[in-house]
Amino acid sequence: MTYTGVLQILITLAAMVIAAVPLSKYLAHIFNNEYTFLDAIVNPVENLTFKFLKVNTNEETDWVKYLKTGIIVNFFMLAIVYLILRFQNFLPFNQMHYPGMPWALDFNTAISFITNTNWQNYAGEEALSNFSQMALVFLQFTSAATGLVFAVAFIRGIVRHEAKYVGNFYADFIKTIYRIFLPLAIIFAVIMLSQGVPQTFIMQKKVTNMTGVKQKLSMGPVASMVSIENLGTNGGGFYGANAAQPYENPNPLTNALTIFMMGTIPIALFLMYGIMIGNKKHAWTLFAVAMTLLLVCLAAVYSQEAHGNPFLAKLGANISASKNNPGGNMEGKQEHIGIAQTSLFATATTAFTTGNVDSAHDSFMPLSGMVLIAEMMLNLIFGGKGVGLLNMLTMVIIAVFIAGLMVGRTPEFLGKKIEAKEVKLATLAMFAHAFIILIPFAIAIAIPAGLAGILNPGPHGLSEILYAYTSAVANNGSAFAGLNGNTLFYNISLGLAIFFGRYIPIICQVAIAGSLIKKKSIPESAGTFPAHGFLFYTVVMATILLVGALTFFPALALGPVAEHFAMVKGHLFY
Amino acid sequence: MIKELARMIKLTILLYIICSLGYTFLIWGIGKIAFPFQAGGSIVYKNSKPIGSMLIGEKFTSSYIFNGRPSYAGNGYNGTESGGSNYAPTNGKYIAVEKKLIDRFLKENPSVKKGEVPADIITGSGSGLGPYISIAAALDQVSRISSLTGIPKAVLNRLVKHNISYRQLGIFGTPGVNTVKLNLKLSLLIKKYNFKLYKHIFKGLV
Repeated sequence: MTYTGVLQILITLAAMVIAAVPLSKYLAHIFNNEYTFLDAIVNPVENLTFKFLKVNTNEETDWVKYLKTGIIVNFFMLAIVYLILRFQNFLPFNQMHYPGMPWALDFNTAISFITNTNWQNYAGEEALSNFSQMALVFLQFTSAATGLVFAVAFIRGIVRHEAKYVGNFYADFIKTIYRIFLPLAIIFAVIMLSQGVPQTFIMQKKVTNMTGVKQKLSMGPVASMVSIENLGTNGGGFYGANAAQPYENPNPLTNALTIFMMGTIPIALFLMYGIMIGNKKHAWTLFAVAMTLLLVCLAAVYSQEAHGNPFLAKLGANISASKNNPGGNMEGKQEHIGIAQTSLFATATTAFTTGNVDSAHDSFMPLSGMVLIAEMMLNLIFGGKGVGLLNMLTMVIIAVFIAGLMVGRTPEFLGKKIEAKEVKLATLAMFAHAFIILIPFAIAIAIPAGLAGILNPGPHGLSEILYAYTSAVANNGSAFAGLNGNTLFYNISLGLAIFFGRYIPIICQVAIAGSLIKKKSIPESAGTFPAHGFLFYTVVMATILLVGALTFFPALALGPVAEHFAMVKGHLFY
Repeated sequence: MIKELARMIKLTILLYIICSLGYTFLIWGIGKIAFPFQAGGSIVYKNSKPIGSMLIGEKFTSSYIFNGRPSYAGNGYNGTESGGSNYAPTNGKYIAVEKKLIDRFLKENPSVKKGEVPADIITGSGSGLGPYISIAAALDQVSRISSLTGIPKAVLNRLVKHNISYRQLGIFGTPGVNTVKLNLKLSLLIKKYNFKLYKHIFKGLV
């Protein structure tokens, strides 16, 4: 770890938090139907859209209808993209004449993109036409918006009392895309373009290098994908290597900018929640919980990667950093971007469940790999669009319940009584997440079809499979990419894990909102457990760590922890 | 219900047109007007023939020029097959590969002591297409290139130092050297010092 490394990490993180504050106000204005500076431009377009769809924005619905509309709309979007990929050979912008995607891979890909996961069992530049890539961009907008509006519905469930309606799905959805994702995506796409990210409809360019070697370069509309892929915490890049490909991430500045794109909206959503419920202190306390976890994970990853691989040192490599030599574990990392930026990128992409990678996570040191998996297991360190906040609030409900049990009082949360129904739903959401990771993981390591995908021997192979299902269920999409996931078994099992991992928790969470919204608001009394401050912070943190550790530690012990101790003893795996 | 489903399909098609087609073409148009070089992939031309991209590394394996990092993209620096080795740090096969790479670097560059091989020059980048090597990795190759080409060491050292990409804004990243840029500059030196060699090595430039 170097002084300059720590400095650039802190600057990037500080920029995100500083930008998130005004952004959170803007977001709150949008969902509270208040004036925003974009009204003059967006209002006419929006009204035209609502007219075309015959939507009356004042007509709100209950949570069941809201959820149902969202999920059915998701299904139609999934269908259109499934068909485009399946029949891309009949569609335009396919100069390389790539065939239609095989059904199992297409099933996996379409589900993966509609759920904001962006797990990729294909390499974009070798399998997809530009038209197909553009279709995926469509889902990158809509899946991010879907997660976000469900979080908004949840917040309204807390804010409103003795009510029934959580909002109008169409209105929230269109606003999210028109007022948040489209403007930001356009701005950042142009910035990325200026830094060297291509935007063209040519798929391949043949060149003869200065040494006479023939080289083929893959291109396409990359800039437009890179911006929404990160802003929407989708993470599915244009290329197989994602942001490790210089065309997606040409320099250290774009690397920092990519991290900024991933993190700013999720942080702003935490703060928006505080504004909407009228309790900023509560939101900042949850922010502190998430930020603490992020910093701890980051420190672990950065120190491990900067320390480097002891086996290479023994062979004669210099793994300690000096003025001219970056040192550390450079396998799978970009030299100019460096260890510090790469560690921050990896920690951020698993915290914000983006899943974009600027390095080969499979080649990280065992304990860094463990931290990345653990972040996705928790899935609430700010998290992806909307769902990170939902998962955090689910955990808060459980924490408040436990705290209530300890003092023998009916738990209350922001003026609402937390009763059996909410706790059951919260527990179901939490356990569904764990079960959908661990059960398929257990199956995969027990059958030949699962073991066939492994690249690295020993406990690391186990980590590869664990990473895959965790990433799928957390809707992250990054991978220990040594695992060959493009098999019938993995395409289907990961596809299903992604599907259930997305919708079961969301259904439970929106149902909680539907239950909370009916309740009376009880005024604060002397006996009320304050939902902010150090005590609340401790209770939430303890709940997260206890639940997380008890559920997942055994699996982690068998993989990365075992690998780490073997490495310390100088043991290699063959 | 049917009215509701029709509305959902209308929403899907409308957003598809806006977010997939409209948005992509808008950014394409902006690129065409404002950033045509970047939008086209930062392609470098020589004698009006494309010779590569400033952003994408190339297969520099000849001992006469600066070598890049090992690449796992296809057969090495294949721009259509980005990818890293994905080897785990404890994989015995990986360590065997590394032993070969380190021994070869030490043999080709006898001025470098064992234990001093830069960490980046013997490991692959995440995409196999990264053009950058560390400053140490570039300086370590100066002796070899000097003895093979006859260019004085001081000239080559100066060349490396003039081509360092420093931290951006003084903060972001790690200093490094872009091998595409460096070898293009080196070609001018070799052309001056040894024209026959130049024609032999830089087939793509003559």
